[in-house]
Amino acid sequence: MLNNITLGRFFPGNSFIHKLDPRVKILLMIVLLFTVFLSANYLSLFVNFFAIMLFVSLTKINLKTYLKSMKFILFIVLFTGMLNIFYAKGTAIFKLGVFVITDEGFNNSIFVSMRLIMLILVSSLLTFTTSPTSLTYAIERLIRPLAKFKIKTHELAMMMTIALRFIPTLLEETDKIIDAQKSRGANLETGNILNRIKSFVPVLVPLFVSSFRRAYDLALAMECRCYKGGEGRTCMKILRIGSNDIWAILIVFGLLVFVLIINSLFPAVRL
Amino acid sequence: MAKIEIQDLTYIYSEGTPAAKKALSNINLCIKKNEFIGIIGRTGSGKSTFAKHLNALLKPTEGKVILDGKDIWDEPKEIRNVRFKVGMVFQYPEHQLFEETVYKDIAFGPSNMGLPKDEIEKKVYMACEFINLDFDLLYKSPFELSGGEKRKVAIAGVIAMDPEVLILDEPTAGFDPKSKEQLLYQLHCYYKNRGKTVILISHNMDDIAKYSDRIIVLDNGNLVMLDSPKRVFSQIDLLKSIGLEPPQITSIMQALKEEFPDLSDEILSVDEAVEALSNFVKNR
Repeated sequence: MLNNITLGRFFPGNSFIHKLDPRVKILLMIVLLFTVFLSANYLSLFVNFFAIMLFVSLTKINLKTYLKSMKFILFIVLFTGMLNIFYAKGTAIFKLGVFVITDEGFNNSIFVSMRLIMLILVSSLLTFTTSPTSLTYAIERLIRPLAKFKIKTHELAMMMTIALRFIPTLLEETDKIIDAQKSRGANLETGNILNRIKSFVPVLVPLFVSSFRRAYDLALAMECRCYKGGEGRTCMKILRIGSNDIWAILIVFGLLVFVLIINSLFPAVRL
Repeated sequence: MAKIEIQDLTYIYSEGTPAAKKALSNINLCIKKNEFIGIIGRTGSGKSTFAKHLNALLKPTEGKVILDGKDIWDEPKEIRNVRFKVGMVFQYPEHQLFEETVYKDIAFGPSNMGLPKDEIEKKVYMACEFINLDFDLLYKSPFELSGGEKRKVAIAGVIAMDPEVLILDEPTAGFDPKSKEQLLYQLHCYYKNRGKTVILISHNMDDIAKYSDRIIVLDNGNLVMLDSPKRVFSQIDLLKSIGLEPPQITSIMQALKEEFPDLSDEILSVDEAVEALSNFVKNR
């Protein structure tokens, strides 16, 4: 039941994007998000979308997987799109009773929806192609300068790794507990909201208990292997920026510059 | 009369995705009322998946599960009644405890059935007695108990629903020999004295051989055999080919038979072996 969520999952592969340095990937994702929000007219929006779809196809992960990750957010996209189309003031282009679609409203809803979709695509691009461990390792390296302000960067990254590592385990556990309580006649599917929340107590309590048990076991196991935090710790994989990474940086920054040029050449859409 | 009838049961995990996997294929069998059934098969052979179909936790991809002459999926709204009739104890059931007191936890099943209060109380005490649980523990928190006691509470929670069919998935995993023997004996009583059907999934062939009337052998989602322990465990080559072994004493007797062809090899317990061997020695 809970195995169908693809948002935020990692799909192992061997593509150009998979092999990029995770630090580079994180930073480039941020740059890409900027270009998405900087695009001010249809042409730059389209160029952006085209580029992102190109990156998506480079990952060699089925497009369906990306669409699946959007399933939950598609509702929000549609909802905000609808709100924007009706609730903007401006020159009317379509009228039906109380419903008035304005020029601005139309543009606005397209821009908002497209930006949301691209946002999800870009973040999926990162999480689909980067294993949780290299992701946290990259974050650890990126926030290392903060150690100067007495922030325990290694511990933060370790906590993130552990949290990510246990998501599938806990999902599996939840499935098992739900089955067990259903076998005892727990009614989890019907009833009003209050009853439904109440009926999840038999699932949540055992889940909490087992999370604590797992945390305790893990802490013990780490201590048995003499784990004592980041000081003096070396890494098995050393991140290096290669020629692929430089290409990726050039392409993404090229896109940024291109979008900025289009923005300055053509008038911005009224929002 | 058949208590449970399985017709052409096929189950495919995550159907329609690239990860689709056939877990059960085309299983046909009948389980009688008041029968002790053992299910064996190596890890991943589909034992648990099969069991989950019996109390409607999984819906067959194809085929039917018929309980008391009625397809359990005919009325999806009545599915909870199936679960009250067919009780299921999962692996490590102690992980499902959640109430403040042991009493409340055991009463969870019966109160979901909508029974009146005095009836619930009766069932809780009955279940405790059955599983040999100290009444003093009833008003403690389940999280204060030892591992073995927790397991007992969890099993009592299913017994308290008084199911007509009781399924247990590896209930004795991690038990010491004495508690294991006790629990199996109690299950035997549940079947013998109260006329219920018990289905036991286990990797311990000695236990299965000792208690079952019939044994279901699964391999890779297929039904390989459904027969009496004697017949199942005499098929030594077939068992070995699907990664199973007969009980130790049976293996010994089968090895002896190769030396002394007069000996019987359909032997499942130490007592039977002693008898057979002493007879053999006397007659020489």
